[in-house]
Amino acid sequence: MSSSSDSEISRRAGTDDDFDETDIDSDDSVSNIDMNFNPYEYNGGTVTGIAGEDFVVIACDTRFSNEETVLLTEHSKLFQLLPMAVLGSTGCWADVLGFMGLVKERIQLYEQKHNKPMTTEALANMMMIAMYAKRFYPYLVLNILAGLDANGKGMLYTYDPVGFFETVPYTAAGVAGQMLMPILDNQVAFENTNIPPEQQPELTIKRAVSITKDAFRTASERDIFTGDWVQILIITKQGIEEDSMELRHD
Amino acid sequence: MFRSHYDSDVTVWSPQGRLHQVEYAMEAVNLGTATVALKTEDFAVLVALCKPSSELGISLPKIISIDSHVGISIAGITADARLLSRYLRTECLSYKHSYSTIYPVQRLVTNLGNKLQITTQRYDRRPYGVGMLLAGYDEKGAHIYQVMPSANVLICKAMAIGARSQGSRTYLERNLSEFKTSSMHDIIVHGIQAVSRACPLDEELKIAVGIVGKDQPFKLLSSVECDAYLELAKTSERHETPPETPAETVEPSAVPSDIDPTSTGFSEEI
Repeated sequence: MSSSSDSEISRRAGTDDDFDETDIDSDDSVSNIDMNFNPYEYNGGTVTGIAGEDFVVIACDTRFSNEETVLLTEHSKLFQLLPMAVLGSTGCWADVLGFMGLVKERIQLYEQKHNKPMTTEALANMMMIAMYAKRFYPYLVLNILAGLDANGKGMLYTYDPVGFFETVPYTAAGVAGQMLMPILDNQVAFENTNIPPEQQPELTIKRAVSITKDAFRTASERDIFTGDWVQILIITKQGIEEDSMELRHD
Repeated sequence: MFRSHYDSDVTVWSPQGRLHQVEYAMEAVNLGTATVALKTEDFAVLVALCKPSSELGISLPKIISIDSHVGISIAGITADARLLSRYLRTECLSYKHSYSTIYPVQRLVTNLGNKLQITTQRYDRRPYGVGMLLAGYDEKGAHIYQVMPSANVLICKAMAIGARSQGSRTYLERNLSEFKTSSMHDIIVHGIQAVSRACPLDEELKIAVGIVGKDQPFKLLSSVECDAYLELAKTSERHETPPETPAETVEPSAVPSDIDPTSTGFSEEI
């Protein structure tokens, strides 16, 4: 390459242009691009949610790790965004914080512009828009939004990292999410059981919390990234109550 | 202010060293209804006179919340006020997002002043035609600031701006010594007394009140609460409106309310 384009490459190495194909084969003025850099870190954690007629139970474990080691043991993954809505987020913690900052800003802007509090449905939709905006470089965040709708009914929204969301009666997300879904299917919805409808116990808050605790205990036995403590938030019209349970610390 | 040869552009100085366009912009503030700001040790209060521009409409919002620790009260062109309040809101949000703490009030008004100053020095822009009183509370205590179209930012112990506000300013000056140690209720009553000086006696007093302070995020009082304070204020004496100085005299039939050329109202998306 001619000397003029050498200096051009050196100058461009500090800009966004340095991912241009032609630079990769050039001389060592651009050798400091690490092609093995992974922008995402997996910080573990599990979140579950169970929605009832007039309540929602959302829970998370409190272990915070990276792929090699446990970093924190009392690290909550639940954020109260509105008086009656709580978001549980796991995945890449840097993305969780970045996304949370955005969501909090949008909530405040909404409430100032509209002069009224934001509803859970509006928040759920707004989160989808915020996540889809980064469709081609997503937030690696697995979200569960739990809250009461305008009529006081328990609502649970589950998301994928690019914003798809739907209302579900129960869900589990995070490292042990796939492991816990069959348990919740079995215990909350009585799927794949032979229990006739009249013998199925009603889904009360007590039962939902009990199922949640059992689920986390199960997950912490098998999954290495889940453990330490479970933090449970019970959202009702009266407010948000907290419960917790200790798990194995190994 | 009379027409002169040096008032065609904001970038033209007069031989006396004045920028006439900027001074004309200040007159726009006097076309808005009066509003008053005062503070105690722990609270800053905004009281505004709400008068619709016609009997068919309702009055436009005079007091606007900016963040949990700051609110403003405006007099002048509402459209300009809308823009500036959006700017202040995004500045506060952005600061909170970056530093996880509230925007210190003094820095916020300096930021605003700098933005306003640009419009007084460019040939392709005009000064914002709105004056505002900013009430804030941060770790340094309660603050009142006055921001004018000239981009001057003044720290105030108490202030009144808008049409016929000279009477309000006189009231504030006379009672200034009482403010610092007043309770929250008393200071609101003082504010109502002050703003009533700007309202002709034969007109019903319609007000809006905003309050911010220690353990009190910025709050606009509801109409029920405002009525309660109006009742409280009536029990104290209300004096005759003092005679107006010639410069302040405005024909009652001229529009003594905030300019809203487009009449779209404030409830639209900013």
